[in-house]
Amino acid sequence: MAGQRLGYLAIDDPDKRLVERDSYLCCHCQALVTVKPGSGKQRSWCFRCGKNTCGAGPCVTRCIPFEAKMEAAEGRRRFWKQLELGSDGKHRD
Amino acid sequence: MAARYNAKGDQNLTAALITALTVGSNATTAQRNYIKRFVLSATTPSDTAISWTVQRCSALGTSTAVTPGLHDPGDRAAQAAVGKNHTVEPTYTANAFIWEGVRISARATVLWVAGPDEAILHAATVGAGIGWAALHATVTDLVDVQASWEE
Repeated sequence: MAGQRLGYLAIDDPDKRLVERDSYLCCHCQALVTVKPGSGKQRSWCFRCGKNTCGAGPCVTRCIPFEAKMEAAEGRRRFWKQLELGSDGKHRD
Repeated sequence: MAARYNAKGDQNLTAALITALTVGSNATTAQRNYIKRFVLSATTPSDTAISWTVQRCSALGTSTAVTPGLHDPGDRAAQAAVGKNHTVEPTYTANAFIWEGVRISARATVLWVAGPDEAILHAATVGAGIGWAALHATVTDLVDVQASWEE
């Protein structure tokens, strides 16, 4: 996990010991991943983003940063707004 | 520095996924919200596991409006549209899970804090937001969600 500053997840169950884990958000899909040392689970590192991914297929094989996805969604909305159309492509009443 | 806000939502569990809190874009002036922290808990601890889901949505559904608190009393009021105790579920975006069906003991409290360079965010489009939902097959206890975000 070198190179990425991690988040923190705690599960406080009074019947069990406090569970504390490092966590991070996948740089491609923003899935919340908890790090369990010794689990043997292999995720992946995106060399373009410089961050960890969740290890799911599409996030490993293609680099589409989450920020780019958000900007695309916002851009689509702006486009329809400029055309005075609804997001379904139909004219607004 | 971005202004920081917090809000709490609650909901009685049902057998189907039901939303306790949504933090979404303003209905007229769309903006992003950067979720930096959330806390999940159940008000009546019992020996059972609640299934929690955190997911992105494209419409915020029908809920009781929540007035967010300010971390800094000098900041402006929050712009985010925040709702709790949903009667009409948000329109969740398929597969846009941040947490999907994570089963947590009803006795436990979960705290998540984002790393310094990260946040759960949604697009700055009207209706877009983040929803915290839970379910249990039989238990109908009240569950609480607290979230903090930056605008």
